[in-house]
Amino acid sequence: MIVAGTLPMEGLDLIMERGKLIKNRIVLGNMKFPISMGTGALIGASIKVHEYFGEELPEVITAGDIGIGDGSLKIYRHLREVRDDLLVIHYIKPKISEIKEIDFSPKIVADAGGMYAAKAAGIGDKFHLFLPDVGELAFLADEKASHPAYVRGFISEVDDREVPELIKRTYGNRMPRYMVVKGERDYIVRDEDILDRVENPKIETMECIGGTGDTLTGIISSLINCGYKTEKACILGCKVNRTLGEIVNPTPKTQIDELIFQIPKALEVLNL
Amino acid sequence: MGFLPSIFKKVKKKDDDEKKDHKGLIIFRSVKETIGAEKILKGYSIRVVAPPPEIREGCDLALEYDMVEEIGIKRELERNNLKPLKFIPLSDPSLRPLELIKVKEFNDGSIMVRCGNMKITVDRKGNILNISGGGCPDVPYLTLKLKGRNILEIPEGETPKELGYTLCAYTLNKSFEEAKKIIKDI
Repeated sequence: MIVAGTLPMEGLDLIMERGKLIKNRIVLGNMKFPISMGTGALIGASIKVHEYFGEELPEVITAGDIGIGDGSLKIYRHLREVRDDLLVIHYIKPKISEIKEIDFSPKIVADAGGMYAAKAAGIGDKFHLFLPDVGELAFLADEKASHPAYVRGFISEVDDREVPELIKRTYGNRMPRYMVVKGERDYIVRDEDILDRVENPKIETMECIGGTGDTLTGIISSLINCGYKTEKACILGCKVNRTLGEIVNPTPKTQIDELIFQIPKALEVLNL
Repeated sequence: MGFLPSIFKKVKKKDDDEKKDHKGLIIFRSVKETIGAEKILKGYSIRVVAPPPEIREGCDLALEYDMVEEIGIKRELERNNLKPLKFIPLSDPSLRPLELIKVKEFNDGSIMVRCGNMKITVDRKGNILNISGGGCPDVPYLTLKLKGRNILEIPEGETPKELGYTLCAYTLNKSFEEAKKIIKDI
């Protein structure tokens, strides 16, 4: 499995290394990075799942980008040829012209900027799995929107109860076979049909902790890579992420690394 | 009498078209430049809109302006060393950045403010506890820069719209400003 996404370090050149976790740092080659929200949290969660199952740790393709797009471009260019069968694209500056040029031969999971770029380019159906939250689902559903910040009011103002309707609408816009809509209640979707809903345990404070969506993407992708079928991985991943909340009992001040370090325990609680 | 509404519609459409005829778009190299220009051009009739689809890359902003004001705007931008890529007539600026804000209070009194895909959580003193959401690379960067600081003590030059480059930063700034307002009013 390859995780591709930017890290918020100015000037950091392209790195391709298997990721490791040492204490609360991600280690890539001879460089160390904090486990912060974004690609960092996804890498951390992926490593924890792979370690638990004794699988080879994921390869990370990253570069520094603070929003200018320089690191994103290096990653896009590198993805024109991918030597793996599972690719996860995460925090990256959306660039329609570049996302169209990547190698689509592996299964591709896209979240964050990777998902925004795929939708804006109108090529979501070339992907395997998207993981939007409810706000991002509205963006996917709005055929005119090119970024979640541009969703038209009549779509963006829907509340959580209208998610199933929004999912249907989304599939009019070229979507991947699978989708996990994360929120108060998580929806697992295949070909526009809702296969399952996961809503317990309910931990209200998880919503405000930066990185809980990133850990979900990391856990689900890793479960797929460790041999679970996508549907099963999506359902289990949602349960694992919620169990993390139950174990840590977070406050609005809790940081994402505290949750990531409990992933093995959550997997154990769920008898995986 | 059945034909009257259609006439009115035609008249209205003509009016709309004429209004559009007076408008143009200013395209910049980056969201950061657009945001900078928005600030500089506060005295003019401008608003932030989506660039036309043919030049859109997924994460950009443009400024709609009244073409009557073009010379003044150009002069103002030059004075501030901002060089737009181009000025073009208005085509389809129906999409505008989200304005809708939602606020949630937790049991411990912390407040989460959400605008679109961006959330910021502060305690009642204004300390930034968490930032979440988004997908553009400057969101993790802004999180590192802002988390742990007091929202009331962050200078104007270090707000998300000043440090960020993308639409996610622009949206986060709206949550940031609203959170700041709420804390000031407590």
